[in-house]
Amino acid sequence: MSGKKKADLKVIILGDYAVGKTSLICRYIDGKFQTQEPTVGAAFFLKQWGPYNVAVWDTAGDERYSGLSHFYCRSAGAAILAFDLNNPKTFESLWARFGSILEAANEDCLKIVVGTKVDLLEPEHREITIEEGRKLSRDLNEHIDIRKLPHDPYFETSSLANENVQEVFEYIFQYCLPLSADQKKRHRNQQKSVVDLLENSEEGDKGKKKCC
Amino acid sequence: MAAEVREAEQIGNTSDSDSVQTELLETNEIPGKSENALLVATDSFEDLNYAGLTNGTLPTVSTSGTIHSLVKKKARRASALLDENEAAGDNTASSDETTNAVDQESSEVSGEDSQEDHLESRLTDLSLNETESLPEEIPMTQLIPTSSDIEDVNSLEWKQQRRHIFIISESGKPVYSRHGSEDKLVTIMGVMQALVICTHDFQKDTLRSIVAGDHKFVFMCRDHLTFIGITRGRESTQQMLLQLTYMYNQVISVLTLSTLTRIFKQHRNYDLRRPLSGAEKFFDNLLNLMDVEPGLLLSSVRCLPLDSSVRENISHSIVQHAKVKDLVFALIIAQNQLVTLVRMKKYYIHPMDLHLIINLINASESFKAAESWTPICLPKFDACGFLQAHVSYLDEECHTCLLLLSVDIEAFYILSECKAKIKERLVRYNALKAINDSLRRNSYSIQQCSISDLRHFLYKSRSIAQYTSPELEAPYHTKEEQQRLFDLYHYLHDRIHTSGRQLKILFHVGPYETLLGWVTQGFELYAVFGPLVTKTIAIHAVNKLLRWIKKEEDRLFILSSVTF
Ligand SMILES: Nc1nc2c(ncn2[C@@H]2O[C@H](COP(=O)(O)OP(=O)(O)O)[C@@H](O)[C@H]2O)c(=O)[nH]1
Ligand SMILES: [Mg+2]
Repeated sequence: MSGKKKADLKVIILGDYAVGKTSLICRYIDGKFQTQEPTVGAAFFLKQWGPYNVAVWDTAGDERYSGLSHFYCRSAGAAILAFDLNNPKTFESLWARFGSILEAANEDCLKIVVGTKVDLLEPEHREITIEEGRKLSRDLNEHIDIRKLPHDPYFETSSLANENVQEVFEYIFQYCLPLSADQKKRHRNQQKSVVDLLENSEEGDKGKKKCC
Repeated sequence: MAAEVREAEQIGNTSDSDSVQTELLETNEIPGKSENALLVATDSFEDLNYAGLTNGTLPTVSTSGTIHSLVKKKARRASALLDENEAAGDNTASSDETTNAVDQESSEVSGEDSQEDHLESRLTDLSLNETESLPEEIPMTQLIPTSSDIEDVNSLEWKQQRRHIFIISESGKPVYSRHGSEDKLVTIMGVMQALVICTHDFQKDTLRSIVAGDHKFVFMCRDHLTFIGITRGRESTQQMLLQLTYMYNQVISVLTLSTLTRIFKQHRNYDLRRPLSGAEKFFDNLLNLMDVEPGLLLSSVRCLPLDSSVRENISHSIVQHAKVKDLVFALIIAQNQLVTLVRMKKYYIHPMDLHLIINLINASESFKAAESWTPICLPKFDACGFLQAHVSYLDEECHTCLLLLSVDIEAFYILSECKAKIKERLVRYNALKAINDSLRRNSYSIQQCSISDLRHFLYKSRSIAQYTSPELEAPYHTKEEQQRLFDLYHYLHDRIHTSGRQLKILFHVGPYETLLGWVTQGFELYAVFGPLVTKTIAIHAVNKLLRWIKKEEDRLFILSSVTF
């Protein structure tokens, strides 16, 4: 992986400590879920989307790295705002902490609100309703023409159960760097073969430590 | 067993050491000596004394501002772009060779220090909605443990820890504890802060250490924080003080000194755990590292043994492909050992800073997942600002870590390109394989020195601040035995450095082994022999060892420093 080629799109992910940001990215890029150590500083991933290169920045939620936020937010085309569906405080943080950070991003930056760990959610204990999530996602995107989007930029995901993860990224990419139906199909196949390959090799040599 | 250890004999001291030395040292070629060192060669241990630690003024004023001066230089360079006169620009900056010089104007730099200011403004924001969980002055009644505290503090496990480290803020708020949660330890920390304050206020004195039974308490106050170390081990007061200094440096490394002082200037009662949250693992890991890595005690760094041609090749790859503006240091670290270090002319790395870098890598699994970009403050380099570290592993197995430290927060993508090129070249020239081979060979065995009865040693070359030592083998292959060996080294090190007069040679017969410690201008050597070795044999053996190290020095040490 190298930053050699200039990326065509920059996607960042923000959110409180331990809401599952790194797990989400690794599920998408590596196609698997493994225990993540807390992120230190900011981490850079490069992802192919059809003919395009997409830079994905994972960040640590800790306060002490706020000095970095300017750097990774600048010229971001899309920002994933992640919160833990089981922890309402992390939802509040999206407004309280990350709104101002995002002022450094592109003016037309697409903001996607993602509720994580839906697998842990017991419907009767739900504190953040789907409508609240959707509303936040609409409010955050006042500046862009929301009609161009297939639906509100709000998702509920599980990296553990591989639910809705692919969808988040493809939603973003398709909006920012639209592919033709044909290109998209090819991308899907590519993506699938990567995942298959990984799963096979995982069975083959379990002992070998593979990093995402 | 410790108590039975008796000193059998001791030869040489400061007064007659020179004659003794010339007699005993059979060679005048000191292994690993170099005029062209890449690390700052200071013996931080001997610099440690309370006088310098307790007066609350900034201890680092003389070296601070390095980063600002570098950034300033960059700004100047940009404005000078038009007239292309680079030579003139370079000259203005070459004021001091050995210390990290401060530009005259650096103190009034304004626009460019955005990073730190951001953090600081965040911190002030947050302090507004902070709930005051602790009273500012702890009333005496609170010093009596409540039931919830008792569980933790009175648990056997907690009590039996060999060493405790606490950090407390001036107002008595817990900041860090190695064992147990700080919240549960509020009371005990309050007591200790009270001790410090009482001594200070009533006796007009500074509390340094207390010995209670087999426990030793050591106190260090610095920049609104009190560091407390409690040990049942063999560490001396001075050695505990060194450990506390590392803890202090780690705080600075995460926050910077300017942020720390600003926080407490604005809110004396601030809960420092907030900005430090997530950083606890660095403190824990650093303390663990101290128990297994003698480099911290010796203020020196261990290099990965490599053929000097391979090492040269590696540093040239870096010089060639990372010649980038504002890149101050580039280094490769493999399993806590230094592979290579390339530095900007005029700037040196202090071994204590290098240990913080090693600790950062050692404690962060997340670097193995992706290229990372993180701020790090190196207190000896510049306590008041952050460097940005581009961190990446060069091999699939994640053994070999490349760090590129820049003053430019925007430099990530450029450095990422450099990294790709460096990696490509290191793969092409089989250098990564050489590193991995060396790692697999496990440094070297004591048997390679072919000196009978020599079981283990630490050799530090003082001019280059590097040390070497063989693998830990039988009888030191169990955890307990390793701990005992470390205790012996602590004992020897302490006797030689801090026992009233400075000793040059110490011969010591213990129940299980015989120790020889030897300190000269050029080196420090700590050797552990089997129990039946006499002084003459030991001295002879050590001379043989010095010759062996001399023969191997190109492989064991980095003797010349490479600059961009
Ligand atoms: N059950 C469940 N746990 C998750 C999920 N995603 C993350 N986690 C766990 O949440 C914790 C924090 O995850 P991490 O990705 O490191 O969070 P980050 O700090 O936001 O990057 C880890 O223990 C993960 O295993 C999920 O979808 N389901
Ligand atoms: Mg993370």
